[in-house]
Amino acid sequence: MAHSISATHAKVKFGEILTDVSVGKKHVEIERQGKKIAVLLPKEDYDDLMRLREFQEPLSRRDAFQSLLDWRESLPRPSPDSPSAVEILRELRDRDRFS
Amino acid sequence: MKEEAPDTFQDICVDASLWIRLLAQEDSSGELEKMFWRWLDERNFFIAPSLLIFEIHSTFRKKFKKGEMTGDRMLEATKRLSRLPILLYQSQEFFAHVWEWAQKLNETVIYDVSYLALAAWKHVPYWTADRKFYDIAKKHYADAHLG
Repeated sequence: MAHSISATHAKVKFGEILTDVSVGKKHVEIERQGKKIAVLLPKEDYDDLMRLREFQEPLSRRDAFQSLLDWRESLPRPSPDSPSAVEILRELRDRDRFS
Repeated sequence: MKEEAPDTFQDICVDASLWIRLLAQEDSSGELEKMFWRWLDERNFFIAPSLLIFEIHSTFRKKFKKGEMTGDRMLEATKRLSRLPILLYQSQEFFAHVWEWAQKLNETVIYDVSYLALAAWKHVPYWTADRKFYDIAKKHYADAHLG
């Protein structure tokens, strides 16, 4: 749960607040003239949010998948004589199962 | 029969075999690719045990040994996979479920079991291209599918 402080307080106590956020894993909202204008949060929480935001943008998800398909197109077509990749995986799993 | 609309925010557990089938271009019909596109639009996250990436690599490593793949290409695939909405699990809580399912299925090896355990734990659909394990899974989990 985030707690709110004024921008003036944040300026005076910035070092302590930074410790609360980075070590205490707290989220701190900063207010100016009664309005919340910014949030301080641990770097890892910020990274999670960025990652989540990227996933929630349909275009970005689709672009990421298209890029994987583009990679796939650069591979040689599977030879009909070779075992399929799914069979290879099955073999790898069974190797441990029955050895 | 009308297909029931999926829960848009529900995750989906996709076994490494289906990812591999997609990446190795082993579905000439294009249906698999369409299915992935649909999941991408309709589902929240793909979920998998953290071993997913290792299984994909191990499989393609065979292709590498046969000269059908270069190391650079494989690393590029990992990079591109990491940009997809895939959540990987390796928590203690998750392993407790894997253990429970391994006991239930009387399995000594837990690679394939772990995907099923994850799907069952999260109450989401489980999809695999591995017919052998699918035949086992469907007896124990109604939301198991072969792709």
